[in-house]
Amino acid sequence: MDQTQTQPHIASTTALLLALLYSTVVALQEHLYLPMLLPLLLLGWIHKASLGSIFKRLFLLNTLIAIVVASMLWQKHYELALLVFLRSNFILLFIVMLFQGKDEFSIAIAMHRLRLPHKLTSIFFFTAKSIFLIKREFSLFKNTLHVRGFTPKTNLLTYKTMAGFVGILFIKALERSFWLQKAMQLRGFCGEVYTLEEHQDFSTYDRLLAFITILSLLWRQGALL
Amino acid sequence: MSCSVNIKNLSTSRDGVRLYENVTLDVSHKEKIAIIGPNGCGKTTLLEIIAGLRPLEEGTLELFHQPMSSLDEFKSMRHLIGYLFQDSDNQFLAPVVEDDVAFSLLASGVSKEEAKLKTAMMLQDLGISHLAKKIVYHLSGGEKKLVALAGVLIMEPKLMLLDEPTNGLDQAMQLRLIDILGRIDKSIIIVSHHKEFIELVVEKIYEITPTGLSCSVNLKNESNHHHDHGNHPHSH
Repeated sequence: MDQTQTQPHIASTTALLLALLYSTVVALQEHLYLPMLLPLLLLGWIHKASLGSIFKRLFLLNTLIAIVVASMLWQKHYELALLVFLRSNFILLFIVMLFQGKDEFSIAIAMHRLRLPHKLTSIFFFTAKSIFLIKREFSLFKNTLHVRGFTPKTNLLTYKTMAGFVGILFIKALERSFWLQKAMQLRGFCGEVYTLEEHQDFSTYDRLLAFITILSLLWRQGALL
Repeated sequence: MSCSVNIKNLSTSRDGVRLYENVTLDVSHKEKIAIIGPNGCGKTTLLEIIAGLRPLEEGTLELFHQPMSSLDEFKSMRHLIGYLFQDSDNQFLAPVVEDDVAFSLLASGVSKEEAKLKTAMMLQDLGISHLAKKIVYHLSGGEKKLVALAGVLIMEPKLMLLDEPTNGLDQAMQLRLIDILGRIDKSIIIVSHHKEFIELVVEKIYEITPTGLSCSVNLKNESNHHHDHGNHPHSH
């Protein structure tokens, strides 16, 4: 991909593979061990410049976990609540840092490189494309509201405007799907998205992160819980 | 003379409203024409009918002397027709520029090596080799248009349908497009509002009205003229 980065960078392929490995092992293991923090520390060092936005995202994601944890605390399963909280935060922080600065398209490309089934890759790509385009429509509409002096309040006009907004997004999504179908017809789409790239170049950081992640998952010492 | 498109007495409706009737049009081999008309008059609809994206209601359509009466008949003709959408974002079927340009080649069974070579040549020809590894959705409007055009041209279609190709392009990009289209040796039908642009690209301009299609300008018969300031879009 076009990466004229000056800072350490993790390839999307590596990110996808390690995310799968780390989250599966951390989620299914009986205990959490101290070495599992090692890949988080390395990624934290790699993304030291954007740690603020990473923790902001982690905080937002934790609102969902808070509901689960609260229900456990309510039933007085304190240790289980802590385990769920730590486990999910280990996984979330790892994934958020791995994919920091990457967009949905680079993940689609990574899926292709990993030779995942064509149908899965193309479904992911077209979903990503639709979300991207709908997101653009969303921000255009939001700008229109600002420009036309709309301020959301708790009144009927706001509810009507918002309902209309959702309706427009549906129509736009439908319109886009028709155009996508036309493009597929015209360009001979037969269930596969292709790539000309033969291989992915892995950097030292990819190798180092892969090594530390695997090591941290095998090194079962210093149980946290 | 051999004919790329031959339309006779075509009538089309949209949402129960008749857009136009008795449209008759002949586009010769390697002829470049433009269709103009007010908003909502059915210009894009006409292109979609020619591309086989919309069924024919009334009238006849022949592509390369072959009558096209149902959408299925277009399947064997797909590689001969290139269609450039008004919004380039709708056209892309792969995230990376070079993959998208090579898409139709790879889908038609061309080997990866050959597709790679042809893609590199096409990108170089259009002066966008530097974009090869970029993600299409991160490009500017003009760059997207050129990438979409490369994806159309690489299939070497005999007929190109361009829907508002200058939409969202600045003047420098328009001049680049004029240069590229001037070099293309194929039948081209352009639908556009941009009269100054099409006058520099096509030989004939047709105006679409509810009663049919009329040739409003035949630039073939007009003497070529040059200006000291170059071929910038202009009007007299």
